[in-house]
Amino acid sequence: MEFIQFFGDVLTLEIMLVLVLATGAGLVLGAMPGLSPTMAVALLIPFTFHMDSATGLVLLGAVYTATVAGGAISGILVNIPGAPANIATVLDGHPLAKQGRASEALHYCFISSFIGGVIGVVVLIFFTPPLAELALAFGPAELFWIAIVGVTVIGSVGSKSVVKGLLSGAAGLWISTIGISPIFGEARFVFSDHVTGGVHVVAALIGLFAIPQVFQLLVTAREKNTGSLYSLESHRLIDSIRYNLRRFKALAVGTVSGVIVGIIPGAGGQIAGLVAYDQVRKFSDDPDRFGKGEPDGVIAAESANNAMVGPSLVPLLTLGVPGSPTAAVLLGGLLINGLFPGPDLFTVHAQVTWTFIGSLLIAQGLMLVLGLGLSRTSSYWVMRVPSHYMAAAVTVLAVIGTYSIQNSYSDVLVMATLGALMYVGSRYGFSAAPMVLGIILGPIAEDNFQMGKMIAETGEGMFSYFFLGTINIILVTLCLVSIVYSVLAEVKQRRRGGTVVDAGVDRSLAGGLGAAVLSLIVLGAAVFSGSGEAFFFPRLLAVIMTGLSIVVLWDGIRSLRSSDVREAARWRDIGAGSTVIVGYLIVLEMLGFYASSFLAFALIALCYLPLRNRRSVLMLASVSVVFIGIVYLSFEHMLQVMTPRGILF
Amino acid sequence: MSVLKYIVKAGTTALGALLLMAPIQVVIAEDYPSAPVQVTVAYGPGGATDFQARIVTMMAGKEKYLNMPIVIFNKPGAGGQKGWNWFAAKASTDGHQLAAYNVPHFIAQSIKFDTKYNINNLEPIANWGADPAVLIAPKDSPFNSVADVVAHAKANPGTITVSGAGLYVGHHIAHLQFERAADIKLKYIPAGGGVKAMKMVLGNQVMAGFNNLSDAYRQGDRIKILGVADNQREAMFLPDVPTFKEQGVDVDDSSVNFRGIMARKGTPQEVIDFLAERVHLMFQDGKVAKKMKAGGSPLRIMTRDEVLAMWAERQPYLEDLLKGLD
Repeated sequence: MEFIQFFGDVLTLEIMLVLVLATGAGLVLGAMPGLSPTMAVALLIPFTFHMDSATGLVLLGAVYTATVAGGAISGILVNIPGAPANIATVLDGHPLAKQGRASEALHYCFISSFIGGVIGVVVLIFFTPPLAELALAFGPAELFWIAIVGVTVIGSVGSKSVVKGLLSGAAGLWISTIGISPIFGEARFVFSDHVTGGVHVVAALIGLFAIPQVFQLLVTAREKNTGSLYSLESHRLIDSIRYNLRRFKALAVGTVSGVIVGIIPGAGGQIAGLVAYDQVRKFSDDPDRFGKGEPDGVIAAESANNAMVGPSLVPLLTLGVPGSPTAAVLLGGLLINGLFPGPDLFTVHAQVTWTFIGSLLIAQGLMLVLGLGLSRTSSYWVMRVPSHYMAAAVTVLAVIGTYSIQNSYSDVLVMATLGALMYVGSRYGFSAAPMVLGIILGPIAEDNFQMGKMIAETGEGMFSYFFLGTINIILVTLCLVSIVYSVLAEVKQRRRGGTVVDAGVDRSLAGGLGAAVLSLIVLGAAVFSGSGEAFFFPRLLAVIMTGLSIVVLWDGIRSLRSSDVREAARWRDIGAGSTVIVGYLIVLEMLGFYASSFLAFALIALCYLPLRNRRSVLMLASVSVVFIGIVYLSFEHMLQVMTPRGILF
Repeated sequence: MSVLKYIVKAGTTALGALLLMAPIQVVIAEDYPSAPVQVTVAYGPGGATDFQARIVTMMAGKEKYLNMPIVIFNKPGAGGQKGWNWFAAKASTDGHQLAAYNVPHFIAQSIKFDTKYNINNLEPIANWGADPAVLIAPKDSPFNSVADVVAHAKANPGTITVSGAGLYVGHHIAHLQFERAADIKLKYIPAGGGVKAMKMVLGNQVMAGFNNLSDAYRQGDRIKILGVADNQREAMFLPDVPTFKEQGVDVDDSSVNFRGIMARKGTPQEVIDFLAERVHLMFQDGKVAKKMKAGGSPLRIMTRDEVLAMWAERQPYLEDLLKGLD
């Protein structure tokens, strides 16, 4: 067994040191909004350039593993998933934290990540050759259906109202069509230079989750004027482990979904968590508990997204075909070190390859130990950060995180715009998760449909290409089952006395009106801005959006109940904060990144400072300096992100 | 009166500032480079252009080259358009901000899209590499040569599916040239990236594909390589694969992915001359050659004048080739 033979090479001092540092750094990086695993690996590739190949790969692998798990920390504690992979974790993880069970939720997150991660690596070690063949069986038709399976769960993920969930999802799918279409080579909805490159998934993720959270924190800061966000109960680790291991079904569903999604190249490993979450909820005796703090949700989502890591390397190492966006970046890391995927990796470069795979296994263990160690402390500290500081910090991190994805100021503007819209939407019952899911799935569905159509037209025809073949039949069946299940669940709930939670703010007329106006604008753009095949998908989506928004509007009219009185106060609460943020974005490039971030941080915190006296202002000034100092050191020196310098710095 | 006085005063100050700036400009050129030089790569980290750019610029800090390190600045998006648009519109012209180019991509894009760049507002410095497109087929494919593909296409027009990285990139250009030269009709599938295009060939989802020579070489015997779309064979990695021309199909090197360094128009001539000389030397460093070979990336070093000639030749040819589309 070659794996054992080379395992000793992992246990050298140098490799272990790299592993510990990379895992620790990965957890922290993953917890920052915007630093997705893909980003973290991409930023670190240049560093491996000057290392020997084994050490370099060990660093990248460990960072990949740890960032995937780390993304759950910010998700659970602050409701901002560190990466698309952690969206499903947030759905139940944050409600748990709000109930004071933050460290418990983090325990489940790391234990499940560990179990899923180890099984994923074991799959990588033992089943690589047969699975590589399977990975290749997924062509455009199969990938199209996978995306559609994802679309069928959009409406029910993280949204109280199915109609509003579907509308958010359709809007996300439409947003994904902005930019230059890779298939048609045509610019779609490029109404401003800032969106020539389309809307980046991670920029959208940060905007949709972080910005509403910033406003939420500002409101909290005004309302309560107290320090901590919510209370923290202590929970013994041993109890968490015992409970976690008993949730066998959630673990199994999560791990299996993660492994399968990981192997399929192009399916986007990001959806592993959501697929698992949806399955566990469907199999659950009481699906209503989900979304309100059900540990199974966290367990399934986190075991899935870490189980995805190992298998996503299967097609990468054997065929040079990555199984996830992060694995795609890792391919660059292999090539830069002179390692070509293929049989050579396991013969000529066996030592490097097996050291890398072995280190992934150890990284899982380190991630567990460090993660659990951090659980209590991190939740304790995050909980104690006063809301006004938290809001200021999230704003600055969201901006630099977004900027560093593609070194693009445009992305920052897109992020802020989407975020502001989502905050308004969230007041009317719309939610971020379905929209991000739409943005992820849109290109997978559309590009594969169009490619499949082109291929089908040269020979066998659309029906046989898209509906025949074992994998297609299985996937189409899954879609149908998913749709039927959702419809039945909805009918059952309506019979039991209507949509219970959907009242008050949720059904207000203004929300429906706003959605209808936006949908009509989108419809107008889709109809008048171009013609031909390239606009088929966007038009279809615009029509669906308009239809759904009419339903929302109708619901609003039926329950004419004004709840906007309370809203007025909210707008006043966030007024100062939004003004500072708008100013921040305007001066960002002119003044220089760090100077304007410092000003933004200090001003937001100052505006929302509960008690303004000499001591608290002095404190604020020093906190601002220290915070920007840390941001500067980590982004400028550790990650070497080149930010706009402007006239100051 | 005071307003007039103010205007006059402001005017004189501005003039004075301008006069002061003029000698500074010269001084900058003499001291160049006075800070690390940034090279914008219009693709993400880890991609072929990115890692090759990192390899060929790693020796920049040596005194005989730039005496200053080169740092890579990735600005991906829209197939390179984001980064090049930014570069052509916003980069500094003092020689401290350069960019990597990909021919034929940026020229084809400037023809097909409303871009801020074209060959007239950019100045080539030197070329480091050339990755020709090759025609590949799945390993159990009935095709064994370019002629087999032509024969099948003549008998069944429009039925051969050919994957490539995308539209208006080298693979697409090679496909168009192949169709035109052999007078056949193929079905081009833009796969959204070279790796995805390769996957479609490996998985038998398409009958053939155009891909990068270096990537095809790395696949070893998992695929068949039918022909090289270049003027000569690739001597280092694929000496046994004949070119299209050798197989009787007149496809030249217009689709070859040339990579090199360029500056913005308006960069002082002295700086351009300095860079053209030193960067050309830097690309020939022994360590660069070794590392490029280890990464399976073919080097092709060209001087500024050679690149100028190549750009000027591509422009009208691509305009003509792409005219028929849309």
